[in-house]
Amino acid sequence: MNTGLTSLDKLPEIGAAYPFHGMEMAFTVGLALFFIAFIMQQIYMEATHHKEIIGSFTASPAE
Amino acid sequence: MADSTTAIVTIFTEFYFLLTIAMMFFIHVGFCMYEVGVARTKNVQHTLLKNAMAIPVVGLAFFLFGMWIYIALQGWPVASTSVSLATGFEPWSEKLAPNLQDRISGVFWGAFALFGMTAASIVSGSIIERAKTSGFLIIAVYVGAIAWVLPAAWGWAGNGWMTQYLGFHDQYCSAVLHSVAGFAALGILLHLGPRIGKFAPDGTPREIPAHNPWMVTVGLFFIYIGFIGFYAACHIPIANIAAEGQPAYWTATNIYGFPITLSGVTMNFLLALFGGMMAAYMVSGGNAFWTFSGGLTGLISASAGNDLYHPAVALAIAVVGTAMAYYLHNWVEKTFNIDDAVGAVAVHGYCGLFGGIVAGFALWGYPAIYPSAATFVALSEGAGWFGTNAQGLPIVTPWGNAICSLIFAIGFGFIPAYILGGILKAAGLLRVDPRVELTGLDGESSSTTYPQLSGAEAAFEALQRKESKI
Repeated sequence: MNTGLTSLDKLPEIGAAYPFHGMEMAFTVGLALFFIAFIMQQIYMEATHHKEIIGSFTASPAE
Repeated sequence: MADSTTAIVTIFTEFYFLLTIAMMFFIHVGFCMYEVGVARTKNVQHTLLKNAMAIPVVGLAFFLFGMWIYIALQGWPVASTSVSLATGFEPWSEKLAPNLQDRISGVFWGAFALFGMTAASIVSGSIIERAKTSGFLIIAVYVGAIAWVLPAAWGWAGNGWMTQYLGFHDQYCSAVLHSVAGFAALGILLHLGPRIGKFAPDGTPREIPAHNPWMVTVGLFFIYIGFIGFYAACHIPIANIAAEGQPAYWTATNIYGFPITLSGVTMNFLLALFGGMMAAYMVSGGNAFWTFSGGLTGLISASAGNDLYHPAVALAIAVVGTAMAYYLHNWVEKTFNIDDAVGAVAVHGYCGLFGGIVAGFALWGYPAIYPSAATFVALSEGAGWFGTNAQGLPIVTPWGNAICSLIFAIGFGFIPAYILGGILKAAGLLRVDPRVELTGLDGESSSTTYPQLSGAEAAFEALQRKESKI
């Protein structure tokens, strides 16, 4: 599968040197979704963690 | 690159910014150590991860929109009402990927992203031991990728409209970044409230002991080191700023295209650090926490003009700013029962605002910009509302710097953060349940922080011996 550079013959004319050139907008959408998913997961993960702590809470741990 | 001069300038600039990025990571090493040291043992892991996760989260937000704000909105809405979506810093830009036609945009982006992470980390420390990570990360996105970026576009770019029309000068971001982040922390703290037990029933503040003061000390030293990288990243390291037809004049410049020497900047950096530490040592009666924080209060107080001050002036401003921050912090803490765990509001907020305003007086009459093709700084039509010099360039004035600094600290720091804090509080994302706070935010993981002290190591040792059957 050819997705990027195959020749360095005309170096001064080469700009983008990465594979999948032309799909930058799709990459952006993917990154934005990943970002939102991370924040949602963080909120869920923290809520679960705190629920566990509250469940095992004792007012006087020394007793 | 066929031309050898262009090649040397480009590759030197690329490498220079790459080094500043590496150095600025020490700020985060320092912030992590500092906050973890201040936290109690039961909150260590939460404190570490809350701060550390600001790095990728703010970084990704900066990639998605932060850098675009800085480049696209420099003239908006005063010098220009149009906003471009083809700046080269949109997340879909080819310039931010390996591109043999552009060797600077990526390292330039990296330096800015590190500035943003620093801004977010400033808020992080003040809210430890009772703030939710979820709420903090949302705050971090605002502070790190929006709140300081628009002020930077307007007043920390040679072509920013506040620089051009109001003559604003803030070379190392006293007001642009530190005051914004510090006052944002204050806005959040008003909703967050103090840690349980921080204040006695009569309102007297109590000292919550740091679990590892040595980590705090080393952390602050790392922040000093990172600050050198921060300063370095605020320069254009090499440019020929001579006008067309004039003999070449190669120099480093400040962010406004004005010629500077790294030698002079080094002197001012160190003298401001010295002045801050010595002043803090004096006013606090040798308090170790304040003495080391004094290095930062001194630097931040002098940063706005540390590209051009005399070292003695840098030291004097550092001394006054540090004393002001110390007394103001204690007064605010006692009067309003604000629990700022690391003094971030004072160190960054008060000193940042003070530094921005003072620079207007100390540099009164200096040209705010120096236009040249090499630095991409161009004189806007009608620039210099508060006056111009003989060359027609806008000048720095006390009112220009005071107006902009106050807008940044209050308009971009305090008020939006206060509103955001209220929204997060209403959504239940700001503060942990009191039972979580009392147990410790690490919960059951707490025993793994120092397993040799918690008994976890001994328990495993016993298990190991039992199963070895020797």
